[in-house]
Amino acid sequence: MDTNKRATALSKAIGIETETLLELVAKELGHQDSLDRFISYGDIYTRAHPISPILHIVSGNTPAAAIQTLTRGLLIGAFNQIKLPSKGIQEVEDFVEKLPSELKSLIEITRSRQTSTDWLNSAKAVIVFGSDETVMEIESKLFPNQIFIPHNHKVSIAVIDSDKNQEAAKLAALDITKYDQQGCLSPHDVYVHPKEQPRSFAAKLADALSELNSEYPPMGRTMEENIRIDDLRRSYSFRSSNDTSVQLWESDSNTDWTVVYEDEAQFAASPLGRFVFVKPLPESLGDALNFNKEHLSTIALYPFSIQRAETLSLCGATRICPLGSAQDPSIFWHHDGLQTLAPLVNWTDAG
Amino acid sequence: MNTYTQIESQNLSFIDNGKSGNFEELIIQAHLFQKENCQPLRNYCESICKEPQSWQDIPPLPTKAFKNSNEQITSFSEKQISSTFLTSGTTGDMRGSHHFCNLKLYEKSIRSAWTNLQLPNLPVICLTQSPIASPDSSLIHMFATLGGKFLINSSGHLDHSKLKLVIRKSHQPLILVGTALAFLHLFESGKDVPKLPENSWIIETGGYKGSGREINKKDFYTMINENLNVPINNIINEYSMTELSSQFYSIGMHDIHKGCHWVRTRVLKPGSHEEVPDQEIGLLSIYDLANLGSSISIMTNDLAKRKGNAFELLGRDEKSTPRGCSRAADEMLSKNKYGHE
Repeated sequence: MDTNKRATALSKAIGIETETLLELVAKELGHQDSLDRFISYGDIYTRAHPISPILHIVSGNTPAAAIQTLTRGLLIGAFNQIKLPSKGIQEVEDFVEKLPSELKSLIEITRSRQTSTDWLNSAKAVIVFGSDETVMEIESKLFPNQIFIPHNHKVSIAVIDSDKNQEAAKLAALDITKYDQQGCLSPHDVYVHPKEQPRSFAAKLADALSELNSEYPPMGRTMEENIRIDDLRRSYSFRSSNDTSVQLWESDSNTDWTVVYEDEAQFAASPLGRFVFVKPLPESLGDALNFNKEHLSTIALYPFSIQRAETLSLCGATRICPLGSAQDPSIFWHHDGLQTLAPLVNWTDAG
Repeated sequence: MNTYTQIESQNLSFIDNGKSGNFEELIIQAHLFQKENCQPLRNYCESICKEPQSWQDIPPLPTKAFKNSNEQITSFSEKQISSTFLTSGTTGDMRGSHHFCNLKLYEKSIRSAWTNLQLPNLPVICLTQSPIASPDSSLIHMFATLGGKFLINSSGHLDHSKLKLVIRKSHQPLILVGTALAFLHLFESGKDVPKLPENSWIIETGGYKGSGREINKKDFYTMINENLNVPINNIINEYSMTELSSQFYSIGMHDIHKGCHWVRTRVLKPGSHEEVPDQEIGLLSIYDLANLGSSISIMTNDLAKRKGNAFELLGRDEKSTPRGCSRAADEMLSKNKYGHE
């Protein structure tokens, strides 16, 4: 299969137009035919070859990321080995079912730890979604000639500069509810400009989360996740009963959703599971993000403008997107600030 | 309202003899006294339940409340503080403080539980520092209350020669107590560990906090049995917290932790104040009449399975933090961690 045929087949499975996928190849590799023939490159010719096999170690809580990494591997024509979590990911298996046999033959799936460990030794490229410690440990098992693409722990925030249309709370609730706030793209904290009354915004966000929750209640949360939420909730419940700078809104008799308003602008980490902090947007957002800036992924912005994105990019985020689309990155996005196809090919020059 | 001393006296009598009073009346009395004398506790409890009708209505206080130095959880004045135990904490983590105006109830609870639960009455040797080297440890104070001898010096090193000497010179069974981690260090020290005299006992506690170590109970108890020649049925797990004044014990591979008549537990559904149905898993909350100086109800972070009015402790993953996209990779690596397949 050439690139065009692979893009056409993938297009049917993921619902992205063939032309868009070919444009991605062109942007990343210089020309949409780079993987199929020699193309002009300065005063020489060059063509790309997929690095293969690629081992994808993916996460169960963000199926979209798993499908996206597999799509990239298939688009360049590599052989893809995927380690799924022990419970599997139905969305990935459904995606594979939609592919023609030529692409299916480029995929091998396992849930077995042992199999994935064997694959680790033979993979030419390894893409890992994991905690910092896990990513470092996997990296330590690799040989120097293996390409390693880590997607380690990241956090995201939202920034609301103004809310004339009174829709920001609903959009933020979408970003928090989707995938139950798992993954790295959903905001932990929503920073609201003081003129928009952040505490009132927190109440509106609580209403929006409650409304979404009645339609899309969380599914399959583990007891550990519930404990983390319960623990932090009770702590903030104690604080809010003794400190007027803190206020808590929470779902009744369960851990479904939680909103904490705090005057304190310093970033607070959420236990995830629709647990979000609302804080006043400080003059220097960069100073409030008291974690290593390398861990900042997405800023979901409302209202979105490229001019405002320019100033926010100084905070170290690798992605600034419109509020409400935090969990739906474009196929063109630079995942964690990195090119997505270019690191997965080698080049042969001619001339 | 009765004074601290009057309530303390009633609680001491109840610990001595469960027929001298009524748990429900005493614990509500203690709770009302604490609310009257501790504003942070009052504010929190009244935000949840203003007038508890039964002990089950008393909101359990989250342990993080003990970490706020501006809002001390005490039912007596600051100048009356005579002892303070600190929670263990990792680097950068603020330690919680449990203050006492005296240790009468605390020590009575330790000794009475020992008798009530018919735990072995033998000499105690401890794989810990002494209370002088570690005055802020509630665990070490407990061992001292039981008359323990301490084998870890002020620099934190186990005195192997003293351990050998104590064991060899003992003409009767002993109780060797320590944290699970201390036992692991002992077994992995590479030094000769003498077998304990016949009919000796082990008390282990505290898990492997902050060590990144995990080992299941059966493997750990087998290790104790092989290294110290103590039968598994002579191994006791002690469960308590710095924020409490009473303890629970399980023996051998039995999963149920037993407490005494002055403590009760509830296993709560996360995110609510409701108890889970019998045999289901939830978060453990503990009601302790001996905790008169702070809060008689404490919310733990530990998972437990409700077993009637008792509980099976399941603990929790100390390393568990929100990680986002990490489950698959962590699963892949977990087989390499100590004690896993």
